[in-house]
Amino acid sequence: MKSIRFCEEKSEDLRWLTITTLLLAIGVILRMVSPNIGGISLNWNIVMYTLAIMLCRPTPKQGLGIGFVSGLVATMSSKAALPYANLVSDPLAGLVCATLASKYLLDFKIRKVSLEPVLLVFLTTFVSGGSFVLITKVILSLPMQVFLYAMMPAVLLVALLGSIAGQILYRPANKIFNATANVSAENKYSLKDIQMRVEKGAFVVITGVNGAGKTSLLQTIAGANMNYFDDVYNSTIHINGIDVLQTKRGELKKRIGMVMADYEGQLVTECVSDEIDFSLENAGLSIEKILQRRDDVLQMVGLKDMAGKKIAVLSGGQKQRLAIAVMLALHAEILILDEPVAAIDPEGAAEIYHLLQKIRESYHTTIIVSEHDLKYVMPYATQMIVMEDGRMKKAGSIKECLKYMYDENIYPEAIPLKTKIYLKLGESLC
Amino acid sequence: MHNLAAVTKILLAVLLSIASFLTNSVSALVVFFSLECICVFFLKKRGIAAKAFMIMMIFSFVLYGIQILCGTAYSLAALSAIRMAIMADSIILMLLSTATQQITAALVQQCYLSYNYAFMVTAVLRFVPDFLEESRSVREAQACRGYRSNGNPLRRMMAYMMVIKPMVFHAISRSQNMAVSLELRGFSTAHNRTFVAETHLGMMDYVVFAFFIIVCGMVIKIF
Amino acid sequence: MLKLMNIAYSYDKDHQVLRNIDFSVEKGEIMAIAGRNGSGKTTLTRIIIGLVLAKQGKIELDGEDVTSTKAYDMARKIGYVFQNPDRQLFANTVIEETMYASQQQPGCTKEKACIQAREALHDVGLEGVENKSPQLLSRGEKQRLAIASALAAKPEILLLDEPTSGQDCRERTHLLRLIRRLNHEGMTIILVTHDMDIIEEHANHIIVLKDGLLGFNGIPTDLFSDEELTVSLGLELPETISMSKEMGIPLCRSAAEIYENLKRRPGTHA
Repeated sequence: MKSIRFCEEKSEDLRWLTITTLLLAIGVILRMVSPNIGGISLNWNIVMYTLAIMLCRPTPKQGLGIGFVSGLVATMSSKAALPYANLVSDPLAGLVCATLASKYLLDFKIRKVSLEPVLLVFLTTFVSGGSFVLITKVILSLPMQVFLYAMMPAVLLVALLGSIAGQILYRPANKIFNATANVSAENKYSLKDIQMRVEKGAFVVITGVNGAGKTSLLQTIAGANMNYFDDVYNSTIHINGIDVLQTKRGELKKRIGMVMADYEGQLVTECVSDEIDFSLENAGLSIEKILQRRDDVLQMVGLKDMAGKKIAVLSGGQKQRLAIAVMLALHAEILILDEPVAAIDPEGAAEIYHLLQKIRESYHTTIIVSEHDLKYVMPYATQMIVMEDGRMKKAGSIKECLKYMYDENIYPEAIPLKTKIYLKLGESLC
Repeated sequence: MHNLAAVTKILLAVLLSIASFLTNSVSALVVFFSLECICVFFLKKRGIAAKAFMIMMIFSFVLYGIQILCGTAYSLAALSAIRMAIMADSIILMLLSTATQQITAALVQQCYLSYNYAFMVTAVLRFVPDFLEESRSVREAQACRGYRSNGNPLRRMMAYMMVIKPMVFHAISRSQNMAVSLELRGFSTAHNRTFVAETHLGMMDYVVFAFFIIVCGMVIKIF
Repeated sequence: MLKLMNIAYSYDKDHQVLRNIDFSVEKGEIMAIAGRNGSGKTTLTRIIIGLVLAKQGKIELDGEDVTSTKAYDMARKIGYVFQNPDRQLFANTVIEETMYASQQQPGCTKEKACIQAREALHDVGLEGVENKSPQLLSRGEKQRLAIASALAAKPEILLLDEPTSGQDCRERTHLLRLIRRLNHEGMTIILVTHDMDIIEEHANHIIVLKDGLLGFNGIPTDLFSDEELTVSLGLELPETISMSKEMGIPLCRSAAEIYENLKRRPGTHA
């Protein structure tokens, strides 16, 4: 029986927003650091947002908005001589680009190689650069000679260089972008035979090789919408009394917080305090409540004196703690973490687990963690689940599961040393 | 100055820029420019502002020089050069006295910009330091494989693709997780969003705005 | 083979990051570099591969003075595998990625680079994916691709920075087996790692940095059998050693050894 959530309407795919944001950020720094010829370089902003538009094919209106964002960012980050011009030239170019891209109007092929990237980047840069220099000329009453013989040729040169860059980047980028986006029905990933019953306040650890389905399971519980995911079959998942598979996503998101493996990608604002505010603002809480909760959670995770600092200066462990704080601020009764200590040094790892235990004790939060290196989580976990090939193989106490893993040879590499020795010795005496 | 609402500062910047076009008197423009210089004293980041103003002045001189070379009249050239400085400096003043969150809050609540786009602006600025560090790290990683930046500028640009490509690919992989994360944090279903950043207009905002309108009007009339 | 003599480095007058670093790596060794964050480990690694030039001292590789050799020239001699392979993958196909480092070497034709690349891919167990996009490989495969890419240039030394970080336990075992095999075939290996268990089981030489100084230079077992010294250098004991101490058996380097010792001990029961 398919879970109720599968029948729910899919919420808006925010990928267009995230890919544009990230590519524009790259564009900004490339303007600062890339090699140039006498100060003239590609207009990386334009190349990047054109690339983003080609990847996600947004509506013309979204293209206008994307251009506006690019213009705003250019105004705010560079000491442009005529800042307002960007706010007109980029939205215009974005609109043109998105219109052409959404209808694949420039998709001409030569020997199976599409020329759309080179044409689209050239045209977009020409529209943006051309309108920029035109506005500049008019507003600052620049002489026609300068416009015709210096500015326009510069625009054309920049457009040409940019179009080459766009052509080189688009094909491989598109391959990767669509690797998960356009998964056919047969290739969709599903989970089976998950029988999970977790009491309030438990500490569950899920283990299995990469690809066993740990992340898919965690994201399903958290209420995420994954385009490569089919559904969960023949399963029952009860956590804190919630029947996860029969509960709507919106309800799950309110009660469950997830810290993903790539926690850096989850932090989306400039300062520590802004990050905590972000989720609370989305939930529509009052300002006083937001400020109160912000102080409480920062105190809990030990980041109180970092409240005004920029996220960029935090260490890996601190960023991880900030991500946890964000979830706490929403009073999540279930906290999910996907491989929390994968890229953190041993001292930091021990600290994170210590913090999780503290949270569990203070708020009676249920903690669910996926982990490979079981030695950190052994002192705290009350329950364990072993996964393989999208199926749950065993659920129970840590001892039971480790013995199972050993007996059935399922991911035995993860069994901690002591346990392995004891199990082997026990075996030799039989 | 830092206590004024973001929208006031945005409007002031626009006001000054428009005012500079409503007059054809060089003296009037000089007065406006001096007004901006006085505002620098109210800033906390005076040093940065002063530096930026100096750079703008140099750009203005260069612009003046180019125009004179192409045969424009002295007064016209001076007008456009100073106008450029006024416009650029007004934006600098606005940026240096307002936090990014305040600007985006003002854009959404008072300028009716869709929240998606305002969010994207802050998010881009948030990831800039990360990617800057990543570009350095990728450059080093490639150097350890024999990548070097030499030869003619065109060749250097093409070789630089080796640094750009890993970053772009990384961004694409990250975008998937980021989209899921935003959705989980209620980004697209938020209907009644609140804003912590202050956007209310206080008495000071109206007073300052009125003051500037009066001063600009007087200057334009006098000169 | 690789000798560092009296290396020192500082960012400015007050901040001395490295002082009096003296050690050598013999051919065919697996040497580990360990130390807490802030001990100077990262700077030392960067000096060895030429990303940063030492302020004082001399580095010799096979008798040749490489103190002021920059990274792109050192690439011929030392293959550096970064901790995060995502920072390097740029090519459209796996084979193109693997060929890059060899192609940068003067005198290496495309055909030769291709042959060396195929050999390297075979060595790490990545045959069959030559035309796949590197971005679509799994985490473990990406790490192996990074190693293949360094191997293809036929370096004399392979320097691996935290090769098992972020990998699952199965992949970790495979990677260590690969490193072991490469070493048997004659490759000198330098490992920078936090994982004391790897060092104890696989390395035959270890240097530990503390506050910019060389705290220990010798055999891992000698270090780990002195618990006080290990802890004073900011390191943890490997699990095998701490378990051996707990059980009162002779210090063992691997799980298999512990098992044998316990089996032999009279009165052992599970």
